[in-house]
Amino acid sequence: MKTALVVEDLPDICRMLADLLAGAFPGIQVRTAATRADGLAQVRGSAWDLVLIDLGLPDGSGLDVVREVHARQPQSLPVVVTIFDDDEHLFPALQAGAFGYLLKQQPPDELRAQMLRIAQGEPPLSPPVARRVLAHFAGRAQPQPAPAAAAPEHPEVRLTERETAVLQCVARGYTMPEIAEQFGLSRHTVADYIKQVYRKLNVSSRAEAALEALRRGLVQA
Amino acid sequence: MASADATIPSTWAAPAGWLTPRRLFSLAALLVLACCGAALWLALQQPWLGLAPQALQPGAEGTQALRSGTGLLPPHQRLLSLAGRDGAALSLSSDDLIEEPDMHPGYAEWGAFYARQDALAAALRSGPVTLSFEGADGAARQQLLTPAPGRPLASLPAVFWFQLMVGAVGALVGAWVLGLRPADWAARCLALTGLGLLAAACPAAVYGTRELALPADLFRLLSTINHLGTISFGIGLVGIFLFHPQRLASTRLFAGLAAVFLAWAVADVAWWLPSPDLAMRLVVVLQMLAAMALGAWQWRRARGQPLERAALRWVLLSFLVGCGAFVVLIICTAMLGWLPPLSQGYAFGFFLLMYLGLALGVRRYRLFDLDRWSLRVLMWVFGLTGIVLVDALLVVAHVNASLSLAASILLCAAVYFPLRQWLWARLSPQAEPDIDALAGRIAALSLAPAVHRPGAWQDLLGGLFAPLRVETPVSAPEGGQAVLLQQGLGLQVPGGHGLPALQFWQRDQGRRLFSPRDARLAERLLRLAGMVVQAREAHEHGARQERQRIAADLHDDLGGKLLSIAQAGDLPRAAGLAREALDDMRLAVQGLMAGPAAAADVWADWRRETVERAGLAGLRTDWQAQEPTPAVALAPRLRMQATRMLREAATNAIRHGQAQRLRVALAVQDGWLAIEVSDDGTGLAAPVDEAAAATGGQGLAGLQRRARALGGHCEIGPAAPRGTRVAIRLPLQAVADNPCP
Repeated sequence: MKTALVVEDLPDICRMLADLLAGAFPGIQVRTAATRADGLAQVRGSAWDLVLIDLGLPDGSGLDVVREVHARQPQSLPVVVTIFDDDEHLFPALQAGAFGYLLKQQPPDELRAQMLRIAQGEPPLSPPVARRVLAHFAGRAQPQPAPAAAAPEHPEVRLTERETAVLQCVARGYTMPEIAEQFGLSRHTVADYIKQVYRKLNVSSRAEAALEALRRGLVQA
Repeated sequence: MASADATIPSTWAAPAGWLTPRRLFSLAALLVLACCGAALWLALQQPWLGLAPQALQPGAEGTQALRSGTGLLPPHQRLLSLAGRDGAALSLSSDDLIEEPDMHPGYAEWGAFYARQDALAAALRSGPVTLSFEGADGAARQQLLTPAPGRPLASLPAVFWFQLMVGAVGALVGAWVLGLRPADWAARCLALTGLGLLAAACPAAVYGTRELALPADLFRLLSTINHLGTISFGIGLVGIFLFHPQRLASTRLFAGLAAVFLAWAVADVAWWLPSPDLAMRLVVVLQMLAAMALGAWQWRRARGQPLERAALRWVLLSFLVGCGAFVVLIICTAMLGWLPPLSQGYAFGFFLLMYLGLALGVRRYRLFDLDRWSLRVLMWVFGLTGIVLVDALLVVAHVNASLSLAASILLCAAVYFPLRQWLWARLSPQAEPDIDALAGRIAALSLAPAVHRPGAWQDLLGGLFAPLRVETPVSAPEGGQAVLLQQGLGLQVPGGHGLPALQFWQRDQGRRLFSPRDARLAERLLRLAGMVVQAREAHEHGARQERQRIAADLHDDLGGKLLSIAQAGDLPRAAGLAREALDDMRLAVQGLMAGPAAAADVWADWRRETVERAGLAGLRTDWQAQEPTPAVALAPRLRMQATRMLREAATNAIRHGQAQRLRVALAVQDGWLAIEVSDDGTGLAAPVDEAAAATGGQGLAGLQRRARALGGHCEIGPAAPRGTRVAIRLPLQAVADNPCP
């Protein structure tokens, strides 16, 4: 982690996050943006290893910044910072390509630990979000009425059995170490499954959005 | 109400060649014009005295006699005889005015009648005639009258025009139906019936309304045409029941039957048979009986086929009503004497009635409406027939006529009306649905979660119509009208408001057709459901918007400030409190935004949080959650409060108990949520109550307050063998709107 961008409108929190980043990743260059417009401009301007994004920005939704990061800098990690970790707030961000989230009110050392885990490829996943993800993929498993030609059934947008099993455990309230123990896997492998789920969620959401746009286009034509 | 195919005949076929429906109808119109014109011409050709004679009622003055009507003589004079130029006086009797000559008991009397008619007609044609009549003083007087060479148009009575009208309508309707269904043998028979009606009515109009006499040749020709027409009507009638709604026999058999009847008709008009009773009257009776028997056969064959039954019902009903009314009135006039004698000309009206009903049936017009109409007509006919029959019985038993009528009306009213009610309740296909119950079910349906609505909607309509089959139409119309399918065999109810379009087939397990009333009822129920759903959604939308606004305000204003305090770092206790406040706020916002949550999901969230927090503090968690049934849900407020309480109890164990293990047990039983949190720490010295608001007990005392506010309770005490045990019990259903502490 050499460069990081913090998009956050509350100056105190912005500074706190920047300090935390500096502490967690020695030598990191941190820039900040207080608005959506500034955030988008900085994302377009240069490459970032890590981008922390508040969803409720004064001039719009941080979701746009998440999308921009995901689209322009695939190797970058967009992470949502929020005080709400429920699925209503987080699921759209994850669909847009966010790689995890940080709860702003956590004590600084917990926040720092969380940041390090994300940077190491261990994104968090809460039970409500896991349930939403499961419902999302279960809904996709049903036959689609959309034009078949427009929907190439990609294995990329299906969960494997193992991924689904891990997700179900998360949904039922088991912690990551418990799941690793239950499946006889390393923590790292479980984290890999979660990472795959994040990636497929984003891919399938984009495919769905494209389909939806196509369908509307067909209806209008 | 719209009917998808009510106006399209089910076996419509393009007529062959040049005989299009329009041409056929024009042809029939030409025929009607010719017949009516001929009848009018013949009627106007006859000499005219202007007497308008009336037949005296038999028995009124002992003998059958003629009276003068309005005219040249003083009214109500008894007419005695008429003498022509050659002087021979022809005595007059009411028999000379008889409307229908075939009412004579034998051919001898009938022949004598023709001879007298011929003589009278010749006298009238010869020039001035001498009319003898009985004056007011009883003495015979004489008057010389000169007949006009032709009859004035205005002198033709209404019944003349009525009969022409009956004949014209018969022929035209027959041609219309035949044009629509040229290949249908029932329609062909109907056309024959209409032609017969025309042939019977036009001659009858001429001779039935003659002033006094017609030449015998003309009279006999007209009577012959009338008889052929009547028998043709009967042949057509038999044919209709033979071919409608289902073909019972081959057309060859029908042709044979028709030939027999026609031969009989020839023998009839040639006076070859022993008596007029054995001639036309027997034929007509046989034809009626044959039609009735065939009708019964058709009825049996149509069992389980509601469409065929409905098509038959029209025909049977009009047949029974037409014949029944005719017979009843003949009985009334001839037997009972309490109605004025009915002119045969007007009796044609009953046949027209029957004929129109037959036409509608063969045409298969609005069959789905029949259930309702036919029952009403039948009830009416049964009531009338009952009165007449009882009256006839009483008259036969020599009860005074007016008394017997009153008695029979009373008797029938006493027996018939309750019977009618009972029959109506039993037979009415449109038994009124219970509106209260329906409204209740609609409301329940509309307030149910959206996923349950389609099933509930199908159940509701299915229970109402008891169909054999329910289908979901492929191309489902949204909104619009309920439509009858295949003449009422099916009913298509449109979708809308999240309810699917449905097709129901074979109402009442296939015993009935769907009617426009069913369609309207379904439309009304759909509208009602739509209104309730919309109202509910509008309410929810408003409430959701309001909650979102509050949540956004909390997040932006309160959240930002609390966050700043939490992360300021200079006051650790304030930071901790601010974090707790933020957690509470998250719960509050969650409670605002979310609906009831499945207990299993809440268990999962609690497990993750508790196990993680305990794990960070170095405690092992023993989690014993009873798997809740899928139906158990926690209301947002209960979920929020229970989360806080569990969090508080767990925090207490983690912070103050110096414990190694944390044990959490969750259960839902008999409408109660039970949460038990225990640890193996140092434990409490004594049970905590609100008075013991010591430093360690503050949070625990808060637990008791919260539990009570939710209608539950909380016990805090020592755990066995050591440690603290917090047992919380909360009702799943909120007991009252207690304010949150």
